[in-house]
Amino acid sequence: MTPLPADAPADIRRIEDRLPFQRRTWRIQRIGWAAMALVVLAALSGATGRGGPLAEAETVTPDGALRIRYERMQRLGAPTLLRLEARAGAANRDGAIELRLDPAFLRDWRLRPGVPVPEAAAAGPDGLRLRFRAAPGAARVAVMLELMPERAFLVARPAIALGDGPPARPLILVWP
Amino acid sequence: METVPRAAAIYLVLPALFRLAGRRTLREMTAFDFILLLIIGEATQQALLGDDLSVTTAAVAVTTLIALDIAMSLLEQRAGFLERMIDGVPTVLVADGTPLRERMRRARLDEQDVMERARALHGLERMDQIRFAVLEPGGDITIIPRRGAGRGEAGG
Repeated sequence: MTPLPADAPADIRRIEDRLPFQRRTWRIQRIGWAAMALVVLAALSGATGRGGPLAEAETVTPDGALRIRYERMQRLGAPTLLRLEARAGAANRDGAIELRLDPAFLRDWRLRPGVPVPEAAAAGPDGLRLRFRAAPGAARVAVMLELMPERAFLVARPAIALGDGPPARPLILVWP
Repeated sequence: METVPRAAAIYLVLPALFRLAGRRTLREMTAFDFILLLIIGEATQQALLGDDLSVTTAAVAVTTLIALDIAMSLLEQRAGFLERMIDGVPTVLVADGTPLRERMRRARLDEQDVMERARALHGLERMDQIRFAVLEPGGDITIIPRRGAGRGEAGG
C-alpha cells in the first residue's frame, strides 16, 4: 500500500513507482557488504597473499633433499622470495650444489639472483640450472632467490629439484 | 597496452564498490571521508600505473578513464536500466508529514538527517511541516514543504 496522499504530484508518484527497484538495490547492497566482509576475512587469512596462514607454504622434494619455502599466493609485479634449503651431504664432490628450476620460472616470472649469487647458471630444455658453492662441512646450504610474477591469474606447479633428483612441485597462484 | 585493462579494471571496481557501499557513504563529506578518499586514490594509483612513471602511461591511463566515462554516460543515456543501475533511483522518505521509518533505516538515515535538511533548506521546525522528503540518487535529501510552511512564509 502506498503511503502517498491521494493528491501527491505526478513526479512523486513516479519516484514511488521505482520503490521495488530501490528495495532490490538495498538487498543487493546487503549482499555486497557481506561479500566485502568476506574479502577482508579472506585477505586476513592470506588468500590474497602478503602474509597470513594461506599465503605462505613449505614443501620438500620427495627424497627430502631440498626444502622449499615460498609464497603460495603471489601478486602480479610484486617481488616474492623463494627460500631453498639443501640438506647436509647434498653438495657434490667439488663442494657445489645444483638447483634445477622449471622453465616456467623463465617464462612467467622475472628471476633475480638472491643470496648467495650462483657461480654458474645454464638454461636448458629441462629448465634453469643454478650452481652454488657450499661452505666446506656446512650442515645445510640455504639459497634465496627473488621472483616477480609477470602473469596474472596464473595457477602453476613449477618443478624445483636438487640436481637430477626428483622435483617438488609447489602450488602457486598469481593474483592480478 | 597493459595500462588500458588496468584503468578499465579500476574504473569498474571502484564505482561497483561505492554503489554497493550505498549512498550514505558519499552523502556528506566529513573530514574523515575526505581522508578516506585520499587514501583510496593513493592505493589505486599504484595499481593503475604499476612501476611505470612515464608521461605516456599517465596520459594513456587518464585518456582511458575519461573515454570510459564518456562511453558509460552515452550508454546510460540510451539505456534507462543502466542509468538506474549505476546512479540509483530517488526514494520518498517522508510522505505528507509522516516519516517512512523502514525506508530511512534501510537507507541508513534517520529523522534527524531529514530535519537537518528541512531546517537548512526551508527553515522548517517540525516533521509535519514537510510534505515530501526525497532521497536523491546523488545522496542529497530534497524537501518539499507543506503550503504555508517554511522560511519567509506566514504560519507554519
